[in-house]
Amino acid sequence: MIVNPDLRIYTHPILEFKRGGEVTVFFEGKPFRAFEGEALAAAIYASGVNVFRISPVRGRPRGVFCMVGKCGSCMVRVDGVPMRSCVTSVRHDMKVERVSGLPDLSRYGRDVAREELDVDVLIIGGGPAGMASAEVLCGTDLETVLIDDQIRLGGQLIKQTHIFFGSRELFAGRRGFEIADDYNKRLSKCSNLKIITGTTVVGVFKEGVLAVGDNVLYLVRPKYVVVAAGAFENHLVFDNNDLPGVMGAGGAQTLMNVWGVKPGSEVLVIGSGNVGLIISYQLLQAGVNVKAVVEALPRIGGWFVHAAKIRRYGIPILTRHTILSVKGSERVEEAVIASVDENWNVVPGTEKAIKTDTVLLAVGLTPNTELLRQFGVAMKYIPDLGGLVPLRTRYMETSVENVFIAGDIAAIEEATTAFIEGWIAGYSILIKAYGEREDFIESREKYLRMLQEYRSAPVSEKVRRGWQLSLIS
Amino acid sequence: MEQVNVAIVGGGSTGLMAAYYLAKEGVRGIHVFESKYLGFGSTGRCAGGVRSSFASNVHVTLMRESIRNWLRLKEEVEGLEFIQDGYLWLLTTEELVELHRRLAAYQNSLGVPTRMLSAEEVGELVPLARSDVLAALYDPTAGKASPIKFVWAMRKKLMELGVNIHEYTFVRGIRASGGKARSLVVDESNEVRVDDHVLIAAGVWSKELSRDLGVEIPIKKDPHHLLVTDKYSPFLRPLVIHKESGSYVVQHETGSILVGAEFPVPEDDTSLRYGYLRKAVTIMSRYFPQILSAELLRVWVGYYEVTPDHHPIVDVLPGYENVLIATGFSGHGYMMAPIVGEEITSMMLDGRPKLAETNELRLERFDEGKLLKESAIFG
Repeated sequence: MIVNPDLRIYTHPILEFKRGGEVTVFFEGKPFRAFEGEALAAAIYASGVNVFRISPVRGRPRGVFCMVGKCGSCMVRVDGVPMRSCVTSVRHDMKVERVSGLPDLSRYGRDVAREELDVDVLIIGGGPAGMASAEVLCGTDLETVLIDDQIRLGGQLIKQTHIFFGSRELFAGRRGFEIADDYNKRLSKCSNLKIITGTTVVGVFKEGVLAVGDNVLYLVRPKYVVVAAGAFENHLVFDNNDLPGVMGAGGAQTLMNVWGVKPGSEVLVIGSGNVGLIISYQLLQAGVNVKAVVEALPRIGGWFVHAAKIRRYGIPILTRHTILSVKGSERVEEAVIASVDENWNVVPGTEKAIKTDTVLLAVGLTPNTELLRQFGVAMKYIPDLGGLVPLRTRYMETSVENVFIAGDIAAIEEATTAFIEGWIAGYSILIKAYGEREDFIESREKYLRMLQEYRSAPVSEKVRRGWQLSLIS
Repeated sequence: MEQVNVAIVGGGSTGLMAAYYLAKEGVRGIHVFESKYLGFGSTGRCAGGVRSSFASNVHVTLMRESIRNWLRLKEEVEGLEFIQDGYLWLLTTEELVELHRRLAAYQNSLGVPTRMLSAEEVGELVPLARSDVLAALYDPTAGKASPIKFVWAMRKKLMELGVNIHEYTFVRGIRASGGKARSLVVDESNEVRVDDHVLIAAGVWSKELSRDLGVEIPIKKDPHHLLVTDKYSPFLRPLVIHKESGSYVVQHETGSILVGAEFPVPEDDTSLRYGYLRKAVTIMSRYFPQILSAELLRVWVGYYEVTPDHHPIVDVLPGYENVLIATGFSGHGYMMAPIVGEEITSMMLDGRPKLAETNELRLERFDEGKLLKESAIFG
C-alpha cells in the first residue's frame, strides 16, 4: 500500500475532478499513486514531492513554477528522457528521476513521424482568442488547423472558476472552464477544423511553420495565420525567489483548478491585480489558508468586487508592501515582507516574517511574441500593453500580410477581449478569402464596436492608450 | 567634434581582439564602434570552433599561432573559455580518407600534430551509432570557445583596459584626404576625428565602407544556418564534422549543443530553412541519436564573408596609409581573431605584421591572380 501525503482536492464547491483509473509511478525509486490523465508534475506534487530538479550551476533545488511548460523548472527524467513534467501525462509504471545538474540526453533516438499540412488557415494557440477565430471559420470551406501546446484545449479558461459578467454574448453567468468545455465540444464537430494539442509551434521557416509533438513533426503551409499564443507570467526579484513553493499564480491555478491539487497549505499572494485577488478566493474555495495579499502600490490593483469578496473572509490586503525574501531548505517555510515608501524604498524596521509554505506571484504577464518576430512582424515596446507587442491594424492584421493576432499576445487584457479579437481576426480572414461580403463586414463591425465598448471602462485606460500607439493602417 | 586615436569599426571578434592587443601595447584612445551590440554579427552567430587543421600554409600557420593566443587569452581574460577538446573529421569514402591522410602529413610538416584514426580508434574516442566511418582525421590542438562567453569576457576586459566601446553607433562612412583617413561619419551626421588609425573589421559590411573610399573588396555574403538546443550534461567532447556532407556538431561547456550543415542559399536570403534543420539533424543523429532527445531552442542565420580563395584580407587599404582592413574570413574569423588582432597591432605600431604568412593576405592578390588554395572547409 502506498502512503504519502495527499494534496488532492476531493470536494470543491464548484469543480468536480474526474480522475481516471489509479496507476503507479515511481519517483526516485519510490512508488506514488497517480491517476490516468493527470499531468505528471501534478501527480507527484500532490504526494509531497517539492524538489523536481537541482539547478546546474549553483545546485539549487527547483520545483514547479509555471505548470504550463514554459519555464523548465519541473524537468525530470522519464524513463531516461528529460521532460517537463507539467506537460507530460502519467503512464502506469513510469520511472521518474530527479534531474541533478544538467539532464542527460537519452542514449536512444526517438521515432518521429512527419506530417505536412497544406491548409488555408493555421491558428496558433487554443485559448479564448484562438478558439474564437476557429469558431468563426468553423463550417466554412477554409481548411483550418489549430495547434496548442497544452494537454487540454482552452488556454487559461480551463482553470478559471469565477463567473464572467457582462452580456450573454460575452458569456455572462458562465465560468471559464465551462466556456472551454462548450468550445471543446462545438469545435470538435467542425469538419473543416483539425485540432492538434500537446504540440508546440517552434519555428517559422521559409518552407512552412514547424510544430513539434511527442512523436510527430508537423510542417504546416498555411495561407493565413492567427497567432494567439497568449502570454507568460512575470517573475519578481527577491532573495531565494527560486525556492520550491514560490510559484506563478497561474501555475498554482493550473495545479488547483485543472488537476485538483492544492499548491500548499498556507499561501502568501504577491500582487493585488485581478489575478492575485481571484486566486486568493479560489484558494479559499479549495480549503487553503491565505495569509495575506501583498501589494507594492498604494491601491488595490484589481476590481472592487474581487477585493471585497476576499476581505469578507478576513484576508488582509497589505498595500505599500513588498516581499524581501523567502527562507526554507527544500521548500518555502517563511517569507519576509516589509513596507515601502512612495519611492518604492523599503522602510527600515518594518520587516516582518510570515510563516507560510507557498508564495504565489501575481505580478503581471508578458506577451509571448517570439513567433511573431520569426514571421518578421514589426514590433514596438509599449509598456501599457505589456511590453514588446506587434503593430496591428484595427482588423487584427500585423505588418506582415495575412498574419493576424488576437488576445494577450497583442495586449495584456483578459478572456473577454481575447474572444472579441479572435472573432475579429476570424472575420478578417473570411473577408480576405471570400471578398468583402456584406454579412462578414457587418459581423466584424459589430465586434469592433463591442471591443470599443468593452474598453471604454476606466480600468481599460492603459490599454486604450497603448492601443493607439500600436495601430497601423 | 570628438577625437579618437584609433577607431575600430566593428564590435565582433576581430575588432575586439585588435582593441585588446593594442591596449596591451599601451595604446590610448582606442574606440570600438558597433552598429548594434557587441557580437551581433558573425561572431555571435558562429559555432565557436577553433582549429588549425587546414589545407593551406597560411591558414595552418596563422591558426597554429592563433591557438597559442587562445590558450594565453584563457589565462589573461577572466570568463573567456577555450577548451582544447579537438576536432574529429569523420571520413566516409576512400577518396576522403586518402585526401586527409595527405592533409595530416602536410599539417604535421607545419608543426600541427593531427593524426589519422582508424574506425576502431574513432569509436574509442567518440562512440558512434553508425558504422560507415572508414577513418577520421583528429586534430588534438583544436577546441571550442563559446562566442557568448567570449563577447562578455572581452567587453569587461576591454573596459578595464580603458577601451571605449560605442554600441548602437553606426559608422556611415570614412572621410579621407591626402591619402589618409581623417574622420568617421557616425550615425546621422556626427563627425569623429581620427588621429592615428582606422581598422575596418565590420564583416560583410566592410565592403560598403571600403567602396566609400573607392576600394572594391571581393567579398560575398554567404548565409549559413545554425541551431542550438537546451543544455544537457556533456555527451561529446570534440567538435565532430561529417566531411562528406559538411555537417557538424559541437557541445559547449555550458551544455548547449550546436548543429550545422552545408545548406547553400542565395546571398541575400536570410530566411530560416527547414531543409537545413532536417539535413543537419538527420545526418548528425545517425551518428549521435542522442541529439533527437534534445529540445531545440533556436535556429538562426549568420554570414560567412567569403573571398574568392576562402582566405581573409588583412592589409592596409590601398591608397590610405592609416586605414587597415581585416575581413573576408570565409567562416573562420572568430577562430583567427586572436592572431589577427595581434598582427593588426604590429601593422599599426611597427608598420608590418610579425608573420610572413600574414603578408600573403594582401588585397592585391586578387588582382594579380595569385589566389591561395584551401580545401578543408565545411559548414
